[in-house]
Amino acid sequence: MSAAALLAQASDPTNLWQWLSTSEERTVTGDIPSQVWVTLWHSVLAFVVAAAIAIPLAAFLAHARRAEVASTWIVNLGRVIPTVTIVGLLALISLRNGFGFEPWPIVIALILLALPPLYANTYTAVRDALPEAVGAARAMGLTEMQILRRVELPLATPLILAASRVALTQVVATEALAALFGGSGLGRYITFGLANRDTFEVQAGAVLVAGLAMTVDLLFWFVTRFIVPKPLRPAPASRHAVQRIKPTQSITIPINSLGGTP
Amino acid sequence: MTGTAIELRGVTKSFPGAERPAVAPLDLRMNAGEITVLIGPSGCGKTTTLRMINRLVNPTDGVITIDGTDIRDRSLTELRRGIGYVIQQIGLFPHRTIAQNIATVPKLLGWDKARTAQRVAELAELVGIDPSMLKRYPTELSGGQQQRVGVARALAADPPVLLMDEPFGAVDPIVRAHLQDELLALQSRVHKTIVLVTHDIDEAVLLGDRVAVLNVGGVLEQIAPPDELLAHPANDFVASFVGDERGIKRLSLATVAELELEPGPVLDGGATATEIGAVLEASGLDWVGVTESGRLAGWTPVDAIDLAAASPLAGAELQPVVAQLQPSSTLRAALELILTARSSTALVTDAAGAYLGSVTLETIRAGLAS
Repeated sequence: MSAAALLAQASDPTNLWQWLSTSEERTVTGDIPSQVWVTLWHSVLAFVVAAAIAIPLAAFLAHARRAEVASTWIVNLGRVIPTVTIVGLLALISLRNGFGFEPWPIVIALILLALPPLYANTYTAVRDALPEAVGAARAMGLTEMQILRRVELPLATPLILAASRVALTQVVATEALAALFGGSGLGRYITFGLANRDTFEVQAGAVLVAGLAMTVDLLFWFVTRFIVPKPLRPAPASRHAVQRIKPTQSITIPINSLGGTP
Repeated sequence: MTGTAIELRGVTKSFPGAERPAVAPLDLRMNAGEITVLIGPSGCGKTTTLRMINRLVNPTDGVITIDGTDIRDRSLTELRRGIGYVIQQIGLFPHRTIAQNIATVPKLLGWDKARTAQRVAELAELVGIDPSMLKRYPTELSGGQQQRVGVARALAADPPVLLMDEPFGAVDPIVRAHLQDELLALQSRVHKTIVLVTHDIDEAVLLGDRVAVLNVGGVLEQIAPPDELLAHPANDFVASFVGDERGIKRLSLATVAELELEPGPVLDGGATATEIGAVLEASGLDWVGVTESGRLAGWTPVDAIDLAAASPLAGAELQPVVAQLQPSSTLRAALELILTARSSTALVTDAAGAYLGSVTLETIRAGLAS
């Protein structure tokens, strides 16, 4: 029996909350903040690298209307190979070459996971950017680079950011797989919990992974609100911006009108 | 102000895989400072021809010159920055404000902020956009306002040439009529060399200084001023294309000044009974118009004249002439007056009120026939 198992028996938490609040005592699985940190930097690194590859490449190819069929095919290929297979395979290769269990196997696998949605959506968004605006830009004498940077990419921003948000959330949630192949991160609680038949530890792992993914998703959504050019932001009530209520004009409903006494 | 002429010499365009060329060898000259309208049925290559001028489409063969310079001798971006381009879909940038949209080409040309801002304000005034709209985004504007912005954006760097591809095709008829009038007013101030593509013969006749009628495959059937096109279509194709109502369309184009006026049933106030009798006999009418030292004073029914008097018209009680035209009136306005006037006769005076002659249905018919 491992030290962790002994420790788990020793403290013997009776509910999930108790388990969570004593996390810093778990020497093998590690305390929660440091595992959150590991998961986060694995995910963010993978996402940033994937975005740096997929978005410019897709934007260029879409602008030039090149490699449409080929790129879709490659993207779909990426989708059909399960990430767990890739992590396992990369872990073996990494060990054989003396790079250890982490971080490269999981980071590379996550990059491969994030590439398809980023690539496909950027390609579509740039290709379908308001054709008459793009045509007008060309006719006015913008260079092809200027068309891409000043017209197509801004118009594609909402869709690219939406795809990025999905990709990053997916990456954070999938990072848990690292622990299956000797890595650290929030997946450890699940893997170790299963090994030790500690239900609370498994539950804690699941809650932490889901919680972190959803927090990142929410944060990204918040950031998105500031990056998307104002007129391209979706209007909730109407397609016409004129009819939108400006944020500065708050609506005040007198409490009395809701049925209170006068 | 002098504009810039555009000339097409032997210009052809064949698209790969197409059986027949989209544009047959085409020779066409767009005069400086004029509006040349390209019109024809679908597949006549009018839009392709337009797009060859700013090289959105490259000709398969032939030469296009602007101001005598082959357009291939200039860099693509430089050429296009010197040509305004307005399309039906307008193509404003939705993520840029109206001011930023208008400033697109000045920004490309590296104008400083002050100069750009001044030019934007100038253009807003020129095309009738309220300055308060400049900070808005395109989706906040109506279709008509958006097209005004489209025109302002095309004129921003004061290009000598303006290409317009069915610019008013997407707006409702009332707004379209407004925009057409505004374009003419604008053109009278800026004198650009405008090439305008349309499929609407009424628009062509209204806006064009010259109208080029193209047939399928880019074959030029006729290029002529609108009135000549309507009066003397070169062949059956042109005749059928300009439509059955050629005569009526021409009425909007020609003015009373172009007619050979008749003397009319009008006499000086001092005319004798014999003279009045002669005029009445000639006109077959039951009234006469009266002038005093050349100016039209009014009219009176024959019944009210005492023909026994020495100068019968002197004491007559005159009534104001309603059916009164000026030389600048269109024949359409003349016809309208004649149809509602007493005895189908309208009287023409100049701006000072001097009597010039009369117009009847016969005068108009003779005018159109000449």
